[in-house]
Amino acid sequence: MSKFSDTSALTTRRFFYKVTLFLYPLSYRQQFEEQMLLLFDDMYSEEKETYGKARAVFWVRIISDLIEGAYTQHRNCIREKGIRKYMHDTLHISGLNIIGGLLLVPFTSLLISDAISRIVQLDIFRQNKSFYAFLSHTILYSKNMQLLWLILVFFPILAIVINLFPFLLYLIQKKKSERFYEVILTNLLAIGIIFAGGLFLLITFGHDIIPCFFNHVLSIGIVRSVVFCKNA
Amino acid sequence: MSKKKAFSHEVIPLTPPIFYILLALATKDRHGYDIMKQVEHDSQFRIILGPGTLYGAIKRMLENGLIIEIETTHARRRYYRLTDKGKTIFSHELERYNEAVELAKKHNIFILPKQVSLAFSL
Repeated sequence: MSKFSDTSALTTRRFFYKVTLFLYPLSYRQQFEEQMLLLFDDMYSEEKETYGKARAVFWVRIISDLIEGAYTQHRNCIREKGIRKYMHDTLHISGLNIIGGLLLVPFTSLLISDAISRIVQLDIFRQNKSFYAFLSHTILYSKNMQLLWLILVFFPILAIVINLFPFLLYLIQKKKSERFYEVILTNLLAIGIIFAGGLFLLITFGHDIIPCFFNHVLSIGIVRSVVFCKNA
Repeated sequence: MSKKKAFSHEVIPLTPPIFYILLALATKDRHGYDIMKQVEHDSQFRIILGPGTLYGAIKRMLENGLIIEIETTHARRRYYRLTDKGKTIFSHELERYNEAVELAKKHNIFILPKQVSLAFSL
């Protein structure tokens, strides 16, 4: 006769296992999440009863089962629905998310190139002058830097806008029973793109002001730092 | 033919985990943990199922009509039962295994593991 725990107390380990179940497709989770959590509780109770604590082997087994199970379910989803419907229904990736992501690729590439150039010169706090001298001779800086402004300003704004409106629409139309973390997970990519776009705009307009602010805020206060750095 | 699909049925490939789950349910109705422990016991710990692999297999068997979920007094646990279709397919599978063993015995190629290790040690 199997001994199993019937407690529904939300322990820390149960919470983390529940979070990892988000790797599975939504339809699968709706059908089996509760049963998988109960089984996990039983397995953990048995492990603790037999060995006094959950060994590393136990967690390796849980994680490898998670990866294998999630991979199998997603593969089955693709086979049943086709790749487009799978991306929309299961991964919640829409065409607008993809366009928004693509719009942020040029800025991301510039950031990564800048970071690499700073690492190469072994001084991450200063711009690599050779790198920027090279950039100034490219198409980025031609015609009044129109392409550069597109990449640094227009593309991030566009990425934010085309992801923000559908997200706001989703928030208005969502079911009241839907929990906060479910809303976040369903719109993770859109939120990520909006956040990244905002961050990129902050970098564009504040890349001089922000370091200046942090250098002066402790000595002259917040308001004076902002005024000083804006005028600097 | 891959090792897992060696005895595939036209309805559903009876992988070793599915075979042992059907074997577990052939004796009585069970819930997930019970199935998992029975499979470990029957396979002599060669098949170790976790929540993901177990319920992935259960999902496939439910979709193919080999098992059904049954109502119980237990509020949260779900019990599963073999259907007539499941019993038929499982019986056919056992028959195929039996035929393979009889064929091997007939041709004198059925040897016990102990004899194999002795043969290789010479």
